[in-house]
Amino acid sequence: MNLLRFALRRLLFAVFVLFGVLTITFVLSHLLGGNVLQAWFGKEYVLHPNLVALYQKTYHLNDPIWVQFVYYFVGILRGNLGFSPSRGFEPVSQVIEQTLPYTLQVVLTAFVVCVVIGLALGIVSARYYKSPVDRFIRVFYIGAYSSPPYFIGVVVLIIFAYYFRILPSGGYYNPAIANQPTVITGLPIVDSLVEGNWAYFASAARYLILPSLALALATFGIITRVARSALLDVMQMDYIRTARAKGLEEGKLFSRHALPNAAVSLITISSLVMTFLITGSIFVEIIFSYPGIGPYLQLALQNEDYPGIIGVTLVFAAIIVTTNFLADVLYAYADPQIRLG
Amino acid sequence: MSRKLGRPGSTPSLLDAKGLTVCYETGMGRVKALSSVDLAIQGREFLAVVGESGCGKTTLGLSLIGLLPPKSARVTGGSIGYKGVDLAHLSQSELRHYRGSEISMIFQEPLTSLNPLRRVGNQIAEAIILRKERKEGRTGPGETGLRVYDSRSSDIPRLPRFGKKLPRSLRSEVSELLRLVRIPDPEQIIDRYPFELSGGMRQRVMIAMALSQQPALLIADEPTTALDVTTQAQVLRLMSEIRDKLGTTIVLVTHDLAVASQVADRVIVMYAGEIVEDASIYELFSDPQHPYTKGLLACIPKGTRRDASLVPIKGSIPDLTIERVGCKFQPRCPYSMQRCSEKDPVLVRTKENHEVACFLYG
Amino acid sequence: MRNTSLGGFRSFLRMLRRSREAILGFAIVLAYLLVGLLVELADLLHFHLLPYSVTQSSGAPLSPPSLAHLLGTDNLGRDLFSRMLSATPYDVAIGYVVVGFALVVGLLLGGYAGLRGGILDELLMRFTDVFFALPVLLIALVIAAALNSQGLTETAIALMIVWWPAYARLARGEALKVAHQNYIEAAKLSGQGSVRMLFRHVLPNISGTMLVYATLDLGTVLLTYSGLTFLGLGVHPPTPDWGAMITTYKDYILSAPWLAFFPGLTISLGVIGFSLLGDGVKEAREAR
Repeated sequence: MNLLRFALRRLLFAVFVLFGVLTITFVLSHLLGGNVLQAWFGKEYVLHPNLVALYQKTYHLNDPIWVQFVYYFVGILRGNLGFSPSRGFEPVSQVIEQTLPYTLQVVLTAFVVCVVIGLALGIVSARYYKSPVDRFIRVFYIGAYSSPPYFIGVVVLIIFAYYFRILPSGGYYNPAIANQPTVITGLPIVDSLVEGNWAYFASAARYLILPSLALALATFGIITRVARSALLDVMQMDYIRTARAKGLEEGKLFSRHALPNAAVSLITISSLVMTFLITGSIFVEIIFSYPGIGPYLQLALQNEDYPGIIGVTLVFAAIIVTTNFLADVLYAYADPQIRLG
Repeated sequence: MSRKLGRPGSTPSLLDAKGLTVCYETGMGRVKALSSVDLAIQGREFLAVVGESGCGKTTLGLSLIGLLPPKSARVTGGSIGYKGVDLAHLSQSELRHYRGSEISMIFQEPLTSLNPLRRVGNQIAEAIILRKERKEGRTGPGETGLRVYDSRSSDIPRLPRFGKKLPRSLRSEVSELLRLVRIPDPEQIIDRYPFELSGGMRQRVMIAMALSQQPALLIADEPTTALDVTTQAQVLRLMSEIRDKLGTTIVLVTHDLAVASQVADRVIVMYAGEIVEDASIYELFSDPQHPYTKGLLACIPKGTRRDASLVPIKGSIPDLTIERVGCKFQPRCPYSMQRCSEKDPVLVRTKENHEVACFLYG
Repeated sequence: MRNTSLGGFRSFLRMLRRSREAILGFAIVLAYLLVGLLVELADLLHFHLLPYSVTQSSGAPLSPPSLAHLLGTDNLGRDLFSRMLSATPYDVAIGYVVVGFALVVGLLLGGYAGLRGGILDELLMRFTDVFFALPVLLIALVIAAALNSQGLTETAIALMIVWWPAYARLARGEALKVAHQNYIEAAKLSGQGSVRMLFRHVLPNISGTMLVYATLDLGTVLLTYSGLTFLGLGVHPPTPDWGAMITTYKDYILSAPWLAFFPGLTISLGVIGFSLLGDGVKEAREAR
């Protein structure tokens, strides 16, 4: 089946890219003073010489470089991303384990909001082509995606937390009124739902709104622009004319023939959207003091914590490559010419 | 302002266009694509509308079914009488009830005219379902918009979601239709996507789709232009059969007189938005009267003899943004007289089954 | 077939003038450029242009915008307006520097690869594939971090390294389109060297599209760069920079929101200006 072959090819490509990224980070770790221990423990590590010798033996640090690379590679696969000096030498993987769920919460919520707003505005814009509504929407989304995500965060903060004071300006839940849920899926807000921990859910949701909203606002412009042009293009297509000639009513025509064909172009940009969301989440989390990967990355940057920086980059790279792969496969599935031809 | 074609005492026409005028707004001005066209189409007729690009034949076809591009084209005069209703002045939602069920249309490019993401059988089934819905009165003309919220009739099947194949209840009907248009192995074809079929097959699918709602009138806009000659002949033969077996009136729009000659009973020649000659196929080819028609016939390559040269018509079609007085063909006409630049000739009957708009004949 | 004749250029300008958005975009871009130039010149000539000192306190801390201090003062009493003005040269210049570099390198590498094809082309594609799969910001981050110090130059270099692959890919694509034209084949047959062909035939024809892309891209550089400074790279306090200012002032949002607001607004406006101009240029070209 062609789809399988296509998926395999994309998978291979994804692996290739990740491998490339790993190589780059490996090369970089060695450039930093040529000492892997520096890469793991930061620029100024102080270790007992015995400990150093132990590490050198365990991780084959005195072996030729390609051997080191292999062990590095295996180490990463095992989850060893080094130790983070900016967090008291806590293992990077552990830090990421603690922060990733919150980033995912923001990103996924923002994704949903973003797609909803983006699609809705795109459809309205296409329907009322060249009308004042269309112009206004255009101004709105250009302004939105031209603004840095943290600026939108600032604006949203000012409006809701400073001016109206109805939503909190920082944090992720109010410990005074709720307890954290036990770990089931890994996403605290989902876990609390599953558990029935409504106090936490309500509180966490309250703190999640602003960061997700800011992130969604920063990103929806891409979707609106593509949806609008895709819809406009599709409506000019001959098969729309055929559907009309059949006597099909506009509503069904739109949902059965126009939207699906336009949606295919949207799948293509969904990976771009994810990329924007992930990089944007860094900024938004910092502005709202949301305990995701963003603030940790900033901390690592400020302290020249290379293990942290590289670890975060690798994790993000993995997420993005995976989403790209999924989007490619989804697109191939949707387009019958690829699926069957 | 013409006398009707047809034998005296014949049945009233199926469709009667009177004084139909259609204008386009283009970047370069307003174009009168159709100027006061009078046309009466009889039931069971195979009518060919012939002319160069830009003569208005496609516009005529689109106006009959109400598919003129709404943003740029408007019917600025005249009427289209069909079963007692003036189609030219109906709203889009009212027109919708006639489309597919009474008047149907197929287009030139079968590949782009079919939705690339849906299986061919599904698209035909969509039309069948529309017919059933209409029969049930769920979407009929004259509806005031009251939705009757009774439970969905279990007789009308639902169109399957994307990618899914048709349920058995619809497959037999679709198969029947495909057999009607002489598609081999219909059961296989139902599940194919448009890109998997050849041009000729796709056009047959379009025809099947157009016929599925059993329309009284089928308009075909250059259906064979994108096909190779052999397939062309097959499709034309098919259309002839459909007229014979089902009694559907067919209007074939084409630039190719040779195509028309293969299947039509009656030919209308159009030029610059006007009908210049209207005759039975026999009459037109044995006694072409309008100078333009004569020129068209002379254009048809006559064979491979060394001295057989191509005879084009001098000049080019007029700029329709400019309103001219007099006969539109006059600048290119080898027989033009003083009268021709003063007044625009109207259709005049010269023989039985033959009308022409030219001052040479009165 | 050159499409950069003088007559064509003039009609192109005329088209540009017709679009209101393009004019607005141009006005904004021009304004930013002028301010940046002025401030830099004033600095070089030790001319007192800024109303107040950039590093010293000149008023009561955290005071809102007033007549004396147009945009208010920050937590150390420094005038915000002056600080923002003094940051202009860097934030504006970085876009042009990075895009300029990327454009040149991309044109040369991509154009040559597209023209020649073969292994060089494959290598370029694979190499840039890795860059494409990841967000620019991340890679720039890593590189900037890797280069030992994290000053302005290093950040600029990191951006430049990260930016050119997109241009190379684009140039390659365009060059491929041109390379298959008949006159190129003819030139190849007549023994013209590839480099010569590159400069004579390929580059003039693909420059148009590339320039359009570059114009649109200027805003993206500004966005990314201010993202980096926001995270702490590039400039160190007390040097002012729009993105960096937002990080510093975010802690004061609830007491002095204007501090974080205005720098952000300036960045957004700058990017919008570039976007509008870029869009206008694109449409003017297409209308031809």
